[in-house]
Amino acid sequence: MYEGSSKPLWLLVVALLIAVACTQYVADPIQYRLQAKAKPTGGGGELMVQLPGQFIVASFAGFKEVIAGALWVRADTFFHAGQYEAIIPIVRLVTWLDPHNVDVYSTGAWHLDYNFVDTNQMSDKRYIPAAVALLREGIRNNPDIWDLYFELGWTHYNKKILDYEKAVEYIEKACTKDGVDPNTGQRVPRPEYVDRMLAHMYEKVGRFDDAIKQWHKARKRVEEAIARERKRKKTKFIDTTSLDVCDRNLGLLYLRMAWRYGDMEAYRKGLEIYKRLASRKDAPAQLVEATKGAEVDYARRFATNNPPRDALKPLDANFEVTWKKVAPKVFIIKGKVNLVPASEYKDLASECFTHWYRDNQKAPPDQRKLWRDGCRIRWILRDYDYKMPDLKTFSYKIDKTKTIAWDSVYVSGGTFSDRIDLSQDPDFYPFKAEKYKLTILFVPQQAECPDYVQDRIGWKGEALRDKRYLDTRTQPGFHLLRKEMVLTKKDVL
Amino acid sequence: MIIWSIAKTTVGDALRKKVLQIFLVVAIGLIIISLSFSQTLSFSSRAGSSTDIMLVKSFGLGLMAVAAWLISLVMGVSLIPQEIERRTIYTILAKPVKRYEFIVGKYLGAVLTLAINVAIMGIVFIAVCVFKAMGAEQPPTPEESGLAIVGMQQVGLFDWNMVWGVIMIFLQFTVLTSVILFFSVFLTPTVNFFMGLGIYIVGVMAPLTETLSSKESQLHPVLKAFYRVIHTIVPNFDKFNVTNTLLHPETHIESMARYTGIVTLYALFYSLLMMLLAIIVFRKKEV
Repeated sequence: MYEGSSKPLWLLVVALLIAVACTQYVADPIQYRLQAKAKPTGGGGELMVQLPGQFIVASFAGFKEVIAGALWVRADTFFHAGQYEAIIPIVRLVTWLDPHNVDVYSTGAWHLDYNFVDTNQMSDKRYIPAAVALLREGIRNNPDIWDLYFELGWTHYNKKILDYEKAVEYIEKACTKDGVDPNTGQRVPRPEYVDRMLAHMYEKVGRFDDAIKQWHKARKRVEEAIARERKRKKTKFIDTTSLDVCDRNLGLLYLRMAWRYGDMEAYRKGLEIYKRLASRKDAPAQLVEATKGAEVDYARRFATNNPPRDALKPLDANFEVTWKKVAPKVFIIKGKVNLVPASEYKDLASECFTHWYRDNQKAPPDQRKLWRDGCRIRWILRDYDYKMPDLKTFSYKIDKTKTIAWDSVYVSGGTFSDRIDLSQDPDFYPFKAEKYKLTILFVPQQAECPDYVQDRIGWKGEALRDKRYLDTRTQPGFHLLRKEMVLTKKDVL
Repeated sequence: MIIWSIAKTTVGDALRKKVLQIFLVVAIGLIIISLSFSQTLSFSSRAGSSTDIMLVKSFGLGLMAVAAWLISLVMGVSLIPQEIERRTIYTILAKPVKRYEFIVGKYLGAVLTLAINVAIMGIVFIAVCVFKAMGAEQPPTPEESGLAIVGMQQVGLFDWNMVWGVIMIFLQFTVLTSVILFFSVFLTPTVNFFMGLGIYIVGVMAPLTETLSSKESQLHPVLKAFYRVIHTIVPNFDKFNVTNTLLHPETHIESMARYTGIVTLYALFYSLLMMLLAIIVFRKKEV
């Protein structure tokens, strides 16, 4: 039954072995490019060991994403039970099993930097670096879509880190990326609100020219989105609110540049946009009245060469603040700030558009407001040497010996007062350091300062003056109010 | 012609096996049941249809892989021993059929059976995915939902990535079938079953053997060399495992077609190698 010599067959075996090795090495680099770029860090392996056996077997048997999905559903149970700390290890595991699930990074970061709250609903700020590191890892694994850049930008912008310059960086990156059809993977344009957000952020950091350009870009993208929707739904009736949002915001930006800094060309451009909006059949009466008011104001100022410069008229903030310990780890912060007496609005340029002062004067004397409320004063209490760590790799295990807390106090009638109780959550606020720094500040750039207050003091607080607490160095070009106090352990405990 | 006749007979035999029919029916049933999967996470910024579709795809691909794995193992272990046990091999080899023709015919039959099974599961699976995607929309995220947006994001219907996924599963198990065929020449079905299982597990864990044999590894050089040999000789089943990338189309896929081409070559070379070894061993075997 033998069929000749085996020698040629063995030669073929060797040749095939070489071919197998070669194809394997050609395939390797392509496979790496297809896989996640950032290896999950911070305990994925050790957590995997704690997983029930059937989960491990199933995840190796090709059901990784199903297991990730099942764990994610489990996380939902913890969320509704308020057990946020239990969610984070699951987030780590899910991103380990499925590093392209963008949703898990964004929701996980949101839990970390917002949802670990104390008895008074204040979030644990020590988790913010971990949230940022998690989002960065997500970006490394999913660099070609806008989602996580936007998420990281939003984390810096809203309520959490409050670093607008950094937020701009990330949202700018988001604006260079497209979205994707979640089923077929085809590229789809990113949602147009991403571009609008960038325009808002440029305005916040005082980059007005960039903001104007961005509003034009955003408007163009909205027009394209509407055209796409018309084509898709085969109807003319598409919600065009986004278009109006762009127009109103750009118009207001021009008008504010005029009212606050005297740019009459901007006034003309802003007015043009509003005249167009007011000329529409369905324009609200309030908008028509506001536009007419601004038209009259512009004509008068143009004729007399009297541009408004409200943000350049000094306003003494007369900032005063005191703090008192009423019990161990319980404090009262009290103070005064001249933000903003109603009388300051009497001759304000924006008044031609808002008529707030006029309407307030018409109100019955007992209902007349003496102050334009809305500002918030922020306080930050931290270990004297506390510096927020910049984590290169994600870890949800934080240094629990550190203390850092911040929140803000509403200013009403030119005064503010808040009772800060950090005594009920020793895990959040261990107070292990010997010295602490208590900073009380007002930042005109941020959401703590409404637009109508900025109409008086400017985007950057240029009008703000204060004999004792004016800070022009921390953020060059900006006027902040800042009082810093050094406290000892004895002062706190 | 002889090879084709043997292949056809093998396909007929395999398709008549009740156990394989049960694997197929159960897998198809489970794929259809996965239509009811819904991941409704109220806090999830992406709660909605696309997450559900992803679950269906992940479950379907995983299930097809398990079914194809079982089919390869159960069918493969009995390919040669069954002929010897039934003594039909004497009739076949006496016809005269050359021994290499018998081996090639048997392998071709096994691969065809696998192809039929994977194709049936694949068609059902892709139909389920399309059905799930019908009318599905991607909602805006809660943080941004306060902002005016133009319309919902409509998801597309047909995902080509799933076709690549089915092809990858088929290729993966043609390799496993060739390995089992080689062992079936000289091992009993029970031993072959566990051998095939072991080889598959080691092959799936190729990234681990690669890490252990890499320059950065802290292991003794002899151990490193051992793992390098294992990594090169044992079929690298991890090469076919790109499910995560396929499930997340937002991932930048450089060239799925090119990658599939290279992996197909890998599967072809490896299967040829195993067949050749099987032929060499079978030539010397006293039957």
